[in-house]
Amino acid sequence: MTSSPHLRKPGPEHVRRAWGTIGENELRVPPAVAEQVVDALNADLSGLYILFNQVRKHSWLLEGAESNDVRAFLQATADRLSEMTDDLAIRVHALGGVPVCGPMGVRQHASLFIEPANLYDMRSSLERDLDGFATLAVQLRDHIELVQELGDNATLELLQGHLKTLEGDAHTLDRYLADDTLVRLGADE
Amino acid sequence: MTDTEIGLIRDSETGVVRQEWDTVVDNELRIDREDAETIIDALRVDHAGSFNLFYLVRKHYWTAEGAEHGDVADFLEAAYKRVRAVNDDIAVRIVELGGVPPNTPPTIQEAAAVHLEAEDLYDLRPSLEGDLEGYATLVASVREHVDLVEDLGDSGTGERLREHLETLEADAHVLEQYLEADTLVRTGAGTRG
Repeated sequence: MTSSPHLRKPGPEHVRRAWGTIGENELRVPPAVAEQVVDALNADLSGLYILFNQVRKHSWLLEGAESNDVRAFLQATADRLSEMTDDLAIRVHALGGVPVCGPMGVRQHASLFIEPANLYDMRSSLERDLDGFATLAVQLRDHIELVQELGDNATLELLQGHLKTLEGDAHTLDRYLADDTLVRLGADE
Repeated sequence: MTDTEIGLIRDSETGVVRQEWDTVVDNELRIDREDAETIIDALRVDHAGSFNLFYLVRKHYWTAEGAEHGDVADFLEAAYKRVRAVNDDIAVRIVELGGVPPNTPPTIQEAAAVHLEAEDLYDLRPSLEGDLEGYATLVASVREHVDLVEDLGDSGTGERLREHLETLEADAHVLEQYLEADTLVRTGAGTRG
């Protein structure tokens, strides 16, 4: 896949590391291991890109009596997803790889779908957010197993911390969506 | 946008559409619908531009290398966060005015005047030059839009844009300073003759 023509592209003499390649790393992680870890982390970065922007979209647009409270949660979780993204991207760079950093990379590695550009109702929007969190949690769990087998303990620790954060936020969304209320049926009549 | 990119966007099977993309509904700020449409069109460009600038600056924060990288990366980290705050704020204003901010890769790239960089990693100087170019494109557009919205009497949007302009111009100036040709290091220093 090639880049779109509208992308800024400094000359080949300025390329330090080409997209999709793995250079040497100074952490003495064997190249074959680094390659697998970078691939896994780039898939996580792609998913995080989509989920982060979806959560932000919902924080901008949701309406209704509960929207203020939900918005505060969505803003906080967007911050957490952003920190996670920084962490994993810097790890990819440290391992000699090129982190996913734009639409093309996102496309190559995506594990989530992108919501169409319309504004949707709050319940289905949050359900899609929850689905994104759950999909990423499963993916991170797989990658935790992978890096454990490969013996990359530093990445393992990063992923374990982030999995905990993702699961915590998924649980909060699950609670928002649960069928329970203090409002009695017919209370507004 | 290529077909594969659109392929990533999937219609939701459950949701109810409350507002279609590319429509403007009445706002509660008593800004005329027609004026709101004009302002939203302008804000979309700044929103999409700040979205791309956010990712551009952030990429260089992740990957800057060389003896100066620590200082530069610290600046880029703080700067990308400021650009994200600008992006969020413009999105919220578009919603207040009755519009839907660009929020998918095609709707963003269609509106953005700030260009992303190709996926490879580049030398620090051309990378920062690209960031500076992105800032310059965005500040020129925001500056133009301050006049536009104030001519239409929307001082709320005007004030927000003025604030963003100040933030973005200050960061552009820091980048410019990083790129100036001056140094304490003498030519040949470290190569004792």
